[in-house]
Amino acid sequence: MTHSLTLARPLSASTMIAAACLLLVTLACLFGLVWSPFAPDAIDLSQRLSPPTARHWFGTDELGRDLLARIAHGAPLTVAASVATVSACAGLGVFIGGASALAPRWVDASLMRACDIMLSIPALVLAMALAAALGPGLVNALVAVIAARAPAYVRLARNQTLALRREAFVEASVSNGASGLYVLRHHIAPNILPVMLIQAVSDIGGVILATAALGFVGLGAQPPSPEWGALAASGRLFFLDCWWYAVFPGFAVVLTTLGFNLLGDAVRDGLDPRRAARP
Amino acid sequence: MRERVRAIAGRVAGFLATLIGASLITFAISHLIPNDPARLAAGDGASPEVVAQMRERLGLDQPIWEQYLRYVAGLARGDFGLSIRSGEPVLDELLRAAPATIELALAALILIVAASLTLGAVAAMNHNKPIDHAVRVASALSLSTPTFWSALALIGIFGVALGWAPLGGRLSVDVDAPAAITGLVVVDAALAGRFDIAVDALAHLALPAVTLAIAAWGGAVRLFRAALLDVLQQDFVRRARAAGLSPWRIATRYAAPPALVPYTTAMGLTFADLLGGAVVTEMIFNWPGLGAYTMQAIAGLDFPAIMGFTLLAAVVYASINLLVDVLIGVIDPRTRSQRA
Repeated sequence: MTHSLTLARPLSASTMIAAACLLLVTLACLFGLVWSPFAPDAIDLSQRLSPPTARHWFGTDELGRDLLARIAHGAPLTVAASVATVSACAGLGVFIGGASALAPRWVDASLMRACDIMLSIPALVLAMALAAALGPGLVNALVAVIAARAPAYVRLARNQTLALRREAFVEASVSNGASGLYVLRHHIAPNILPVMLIQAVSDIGGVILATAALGFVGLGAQPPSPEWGALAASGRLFFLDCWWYAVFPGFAVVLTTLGFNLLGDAVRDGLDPRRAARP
Repeated sequence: MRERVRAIAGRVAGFLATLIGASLITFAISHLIPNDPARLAAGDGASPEVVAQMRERLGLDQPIWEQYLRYVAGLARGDFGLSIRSGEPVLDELLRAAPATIELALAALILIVAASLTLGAVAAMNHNKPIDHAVRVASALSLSTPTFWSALALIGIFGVALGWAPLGGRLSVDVDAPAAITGLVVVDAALAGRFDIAVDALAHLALPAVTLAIAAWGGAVRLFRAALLDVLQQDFVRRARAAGLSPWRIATRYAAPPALVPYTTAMGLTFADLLGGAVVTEMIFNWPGLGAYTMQAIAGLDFPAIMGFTLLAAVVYASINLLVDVLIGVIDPRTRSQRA
């Protein structure tokens, strides 16, 4: 009953803002990808470091490449990378966390201890150390971000599974001889999926920020990739004279992250009955 | 009493286990490097003999568990290894850079606490009114802004356009640093009676501290607002309201203390995050702290230095966690009765 009530509620203001942010980014990117006359890597030295004009809306970079086109080509990269990252985290969480809760106690205890330890290093520091060890590059940066963030998902999935394990339908399945993997796949995973989904959607913004930060310090995507953190890092070199070069890629990060963060809040309010019940 | 001692002993044991675990992680990461550490240490273009010598000197020819034991034994003696770039002990270099980061993180923490307590209280007391919505939007923006962007925006506006603040560094070039007492330049200058230097240092501190504060403020204000809202709905607050106490008195005397318990825990971790997460900020503002040191280490593939910083961040994180736990046990009577 409560479910239909929450769905019947009008969209909140923050959901609208989220939609507006994401729509704006999508439109700008569609423009840059589809209608813009400029290719993201088309060098035009006569137009180098041009401020925003009617021709180049966001200005150009040091090689005269159109910034709007570059930012637009960075968007699918950023969104796909962050969605893939949180999906990997959620998948690892369900698999490792669920298995941990169903496994013998000593396995569970040592896995949780390992999670605590990984969580004891600030996530960005751990991601930087890992990315530095793996070598710079977008894929390595994502692996580093996944490794730094997955422990939180593992813990969440494990705690959810522990609560589910005592439910009658799970115990019935186990007493009928179902294997651990079967229980995990057919009983645990579908039931903890909403919670993992909430966690994943709320985390997309954080992942975008972390990936951009790694790109900015030179550990993530490398130039000439139009990844936003890497773009802003190149822009920083010209910042005092050409403000637009670093500002627009950063602004793209802000809008996209804000959109996903507010979307995460909306999903949380919509799916989580405990939160929705609160005033 | 015995319960209390046992609880604290348990916490300390957990703390030590965490440190050992963190050393395992840094050890594993530095052995996962695709590059050969011996070759990195010997430098580019070193002959195979020199690399082999270096491998022997660094103990890289030993079995892996022996290398780890040696690593942990070194750590226990405060030996974090030698920096590849400078050849100096990593711990010395980290400790030399630490005061600048501590000063920056403290300044940011003061800003965060001041802004999140006041605005969080104002928002909770005006629940669902325009000011509450404004605070929520601002906190969402804070959680969505990359540090590098707020840093550049602040430099552009207050440094370049208005010229109110310097663009980077800890002191102006023509100003001599005061004698180090605490290592915090602002405090040292004030202690030495040189308020002109203190003002110069504060001006340099302002933008990086605000940058860090912007990033961490959103989480803090959300947490305090939510905690305060929870408390404001409880019976003892209702009773106080029914007794005719002013909203302000209810908020400060009745509602704030319980709301401050989760807030204190979170702030401890935020401070640890500030120490570690200052990397981008310090790099942009040319702030000579741990973050800038780590950036140089990353650029030079100086793994002993990178891992030293990672380990230090874990130590700080775990220590602050332990400290906050003990502190909460002291200030919150409920945790005492629960444990006994």
